[in-house]
Amino acid sequence: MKTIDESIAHLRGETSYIDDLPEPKDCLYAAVRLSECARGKILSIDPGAALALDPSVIVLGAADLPGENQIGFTKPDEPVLPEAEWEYWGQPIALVLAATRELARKAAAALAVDYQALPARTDPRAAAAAGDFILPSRSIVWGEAEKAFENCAFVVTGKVDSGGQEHVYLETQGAYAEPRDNGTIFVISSTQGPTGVQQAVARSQGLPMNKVEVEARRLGGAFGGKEDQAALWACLAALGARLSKRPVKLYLDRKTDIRATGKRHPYSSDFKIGADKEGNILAFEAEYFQNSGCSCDLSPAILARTLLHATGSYRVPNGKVVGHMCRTNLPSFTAFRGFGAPQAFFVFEAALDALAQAMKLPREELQRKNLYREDDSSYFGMPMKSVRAEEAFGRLTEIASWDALKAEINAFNAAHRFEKKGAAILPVCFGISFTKLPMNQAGALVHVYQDGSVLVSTGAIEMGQQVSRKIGVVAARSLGIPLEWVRVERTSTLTVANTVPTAASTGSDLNGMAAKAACEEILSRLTTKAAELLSCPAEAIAIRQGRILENGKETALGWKELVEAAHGSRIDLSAHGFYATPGLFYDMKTERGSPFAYHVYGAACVVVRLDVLRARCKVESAYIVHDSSNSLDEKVDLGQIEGAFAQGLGWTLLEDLRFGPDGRLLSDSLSTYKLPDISFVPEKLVVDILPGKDNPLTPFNSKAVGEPPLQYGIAGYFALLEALRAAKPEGETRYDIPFIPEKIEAFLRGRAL
Amino acid sequence: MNFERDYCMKILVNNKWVSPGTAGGRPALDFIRLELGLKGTKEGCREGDCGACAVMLGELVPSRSGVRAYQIGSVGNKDVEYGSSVLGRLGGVPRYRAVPSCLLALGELAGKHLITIEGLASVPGGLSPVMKAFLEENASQCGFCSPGFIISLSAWLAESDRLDIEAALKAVDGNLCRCTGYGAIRRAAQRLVKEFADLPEDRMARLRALVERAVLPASVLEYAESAELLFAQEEKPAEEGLDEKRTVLGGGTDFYVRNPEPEAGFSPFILGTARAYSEIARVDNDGRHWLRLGAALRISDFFASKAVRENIPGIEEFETQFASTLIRNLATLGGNIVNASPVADLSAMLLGLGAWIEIRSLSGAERGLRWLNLDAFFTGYKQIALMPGEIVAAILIPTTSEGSEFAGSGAYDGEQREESLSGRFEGGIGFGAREGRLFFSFEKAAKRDNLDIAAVNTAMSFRLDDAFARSVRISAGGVAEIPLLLGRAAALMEGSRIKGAKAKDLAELCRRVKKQAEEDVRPMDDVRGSAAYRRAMIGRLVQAHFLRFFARDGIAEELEP
Repeated sequence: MKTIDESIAHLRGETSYIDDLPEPKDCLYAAVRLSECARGKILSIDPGAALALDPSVIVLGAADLPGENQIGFTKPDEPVLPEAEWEYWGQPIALVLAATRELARKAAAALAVDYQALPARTDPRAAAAAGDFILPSRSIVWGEAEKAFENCAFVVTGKVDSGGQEHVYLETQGAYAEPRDNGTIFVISSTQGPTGVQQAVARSQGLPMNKVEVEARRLGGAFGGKEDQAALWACLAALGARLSKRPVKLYLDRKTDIRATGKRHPYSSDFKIGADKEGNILAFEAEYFQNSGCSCDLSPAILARTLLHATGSYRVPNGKVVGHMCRTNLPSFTAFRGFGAPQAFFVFEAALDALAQAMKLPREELQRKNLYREDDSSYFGMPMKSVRAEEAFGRLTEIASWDALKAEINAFNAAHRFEKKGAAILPVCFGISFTKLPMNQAGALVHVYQDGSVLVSTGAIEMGQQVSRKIGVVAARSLGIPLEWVRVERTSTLTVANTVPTAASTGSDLNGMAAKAACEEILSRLTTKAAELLSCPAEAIAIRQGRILENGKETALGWKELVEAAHGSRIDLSAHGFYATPGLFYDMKTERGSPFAYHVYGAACVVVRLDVLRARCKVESAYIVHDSSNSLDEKVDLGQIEGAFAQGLGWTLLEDLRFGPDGRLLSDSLSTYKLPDISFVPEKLVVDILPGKDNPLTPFNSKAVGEPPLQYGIAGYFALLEALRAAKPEGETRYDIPFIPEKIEAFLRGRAL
Repeated sequence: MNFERDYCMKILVNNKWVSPGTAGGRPALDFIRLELGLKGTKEGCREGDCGACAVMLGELVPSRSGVRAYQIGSVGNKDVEYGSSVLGRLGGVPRYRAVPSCLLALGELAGKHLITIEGLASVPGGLSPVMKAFLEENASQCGFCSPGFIISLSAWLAESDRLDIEAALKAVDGNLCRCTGYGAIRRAAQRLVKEFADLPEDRMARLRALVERAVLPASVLEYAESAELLFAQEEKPAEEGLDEKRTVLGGGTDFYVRNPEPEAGFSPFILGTARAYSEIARVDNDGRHWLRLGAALRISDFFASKAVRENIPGIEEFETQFASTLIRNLATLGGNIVNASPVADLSAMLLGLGAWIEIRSLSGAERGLRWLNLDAFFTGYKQIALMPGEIVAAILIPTTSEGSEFAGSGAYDGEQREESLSGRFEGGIGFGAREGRLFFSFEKAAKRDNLDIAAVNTAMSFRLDDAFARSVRISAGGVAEIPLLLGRAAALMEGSRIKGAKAKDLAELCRRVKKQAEEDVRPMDDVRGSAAYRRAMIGRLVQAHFLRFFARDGIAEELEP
């Protein structure tokens, strides 16, 4: 099967990532020199010692850029290389080329950088106090919160912190650039957004976009980290190639990658929540201090997603949520699977937990009572349709045998002093569409070759989510041919122009719909031809499994013969397809609208076992009910659900991105930054898929799957919290993730960190 | 630099013998990718933490017969077990293990069989059963980690004495999948457990079966018989080139983390290839007082050693707390100690066992031996009592009370010679040993269960002499600039009645030892934990030792968690 080819090649070690591509003999290798304090005024960069190492060494700086030294598109605050000041510890400040990789790195280290350290800031609340924001703050206000709080029987307030998260895509950032004829440049980039890279290279090289060709074959993982932040490395490789007139490869070593690139945004937030005495949540307020890092990047879009997921899966009649993009001297935080929603979910679930504590009610009772229902309206005015929150929640309590599970845990806890268990549920309701509305568009190019084989190219980047397999399924089903006859090619700005990044879980929705449109165009031409050949009306024709049917009956005509005949009749066997999600609108002034095509629902239950003596925990089991609707490929979706859940668990319980007060990243390697390994994920992980429903804005009623399941991992924190409370009922709750063993120890000991 | 070895060595890469035109200190990963152009082996982190660069390393394990017994003075050799680093001059059976190629010195490969993912993909049909299992379960997402997982699981089938799911998962404890397809990988491993339950135990028979079933390439069978191998063995031994300036490398698993791209031409003295000292990679049991562990013994061989398991009951339980399978297959005992990390798990274990270090001088006229208590070996942060031209040749672990008492005496005489060590047994302490049962426990606090450097670690041991605890030792890592022995805490327990003691009294003892241990440490703050956390954890983990030792004595009921 053609679309399985990629998996087979992966397993045989035959797939090429940037660093695996054959290199021309005259290829130069690039390395970058990183800044060494959080904010510094550049006094001089002396290349003498570097140049002395080898005649092949070339040192380039901001002044060498032929175009604009700028790749910030929302806000011009991201230079390719800084001219006067750098803004964070680990920022690339000079580019070095040399004949070998080792030599380039050595030369980069040999640069003499003279600088003056300037005062720097790392705390988002301090930035907010000083009024240092990336862009003006945003807020959504609904109902009458103040009045509602007065009517509440219970009102609680609290503080919530969530840490950053390093992507650790196993393939680090990189790009290969080659100067070509007539001043054009060819770039292969490990990027989720080839068009964004094309724009950034064109801008920094002073070229029109038609002189820059960008290709992305496949990525060794991305998770949002290569959405905007792949552009810089491509720009640097392009700069090197243009000036040296030789091909240049820039491939980061792990430490450079971790130090120089953005991660998930850390948030510090305050909440206020109130309910009546039955537990109906009446009002909610939150103020999010997003640590945006040193530049704009995707922070506003990420904040938008936070603000649009502020109440999680729950309906709340009154409220106000405010978000600040706080500028700090840290790497520019960026997209990471979930894109601001996990931070919002964590704040709301923390608020709900605090409320449950105050009301002495089980969390799940409050959760269940306040779930979104059919025909509710979201707090920003979006009508909620095909709501499956209660269905997912109910199904979850069944597959997890929730009541029995709780009883079992209570019995266990009563019988054990050195070990305690805890379980928690987390419902998910996740909006699908880019929150920046113009991005909800996609294109595809489909060729049917004379032998009947089909080639599809879209803007969807293959990065492990197996979107190419899904698009292959869409094309095969649309054309009525076996999947083996379809090949999904890499993404190139030559085949599909003006693509949006493969992100926001929309890759297969948008690109699948575009591919479907192109296939349908070709299919209609072929159907006409088939009708002509079979002398029947076009309406009678159908194509299934590569056979042409007339009124449902097989004919002598096959796909290959039909294609051949069409070509002989000079019928165009190629088509471009385009899709723009209909019905989306959002008014930024009133903060009201319908910004999502639909929502994905689900719920998870996580069980944690706490080793009280050793102050550590193990995730013992997990149950997930997920709404994939009509999956295009169930195994692919299962991989996405399990994978996102594991990343979410890592974010809440393990992955400890730690900056020093001086802005230096302390966890800058895989020996200090730990991410889930195979024993970290629970051995018992039950995934249950809700039966399919109509979902007309996607190919074949499927649903996006990339990001929603990441939220399930948040249940891990609350399960641990239950276990901790069983061990020490008077312990002081801190909504602060990742809740690493050191925090467990502090909770149990009752000490401040 | 040892010209002959570096430039004449031959390696069987997949199915072809090659002679690297490069220095022996180059990381094998660079040789594989840049010189051989085999790009299926991926660079993910270059510090052994991700497993994307895993390769299979085949080497001959000497057969037991025909090997000269190694002797410590007059103490005769009773039992010898081999690790794997030394070429079997006298023939042997090949063994295949997975190692991280980013931390592997090219020089290690002399005469060995390197199998990369391309080698595994060369099986008839092009898809090995391990690959097929991954395909069936859709266990490859972005694909970057896939070759490493395939290597690790293929090596598990070739090497492991346990073919159950637990062992399969242990085999991939050093492979990260960020996507993360662990669920599918687990299911693929389950398929393999089912499919390969009937593999023969005999190593050679198993290799034959795995070749037949297309898990391993046919070159595996050709390797042992290869004439090239005999040729490779005729080379001059590397140790002739050892001088004071040359870096001595154990497994390299820490060296290459700190020096990811060594200078071109870097040519270390690789302990494991020092053929003249074949004892350097094996376990000798004198049958009386000591286990002598060659410094080049791999960590995985240490934990697998029958003699080690017999003499340190329960030690295998703690194996997976030490790094990962990939690292354990490469790291050496000697390297781990000489590296002198204040938080090395093995240092904590060996300190807790009262180990001694055997030091050999290889340079100049003085080719002597001396012994040093491990406690006296660490002299400061990353500093050790090794003089220029000296190497750690072995680690000695006492196996009886007598050995323990000797080890515990802390005596150190720089002028000691071989005979004086054995003389101490013969004369000083006397035979007719009282056989004290050894109790041993190891505990570690880290963020992740596998492959994580500890915030703190501790080991504790004592011998039950009649009813009393003797030779009590408690070590603590990550709490000072060197791994510590907590002498004052141990002294509180020394000589205490254990057998027949009341649970209440044992609990009280535990509380006192715990409190003393917390007072004895001097931790600092860093990314792995604050000083307060570390101090608290040492106390908690010391209590965990007691709970392990005295679980059956009802001590838990008397203690607070």
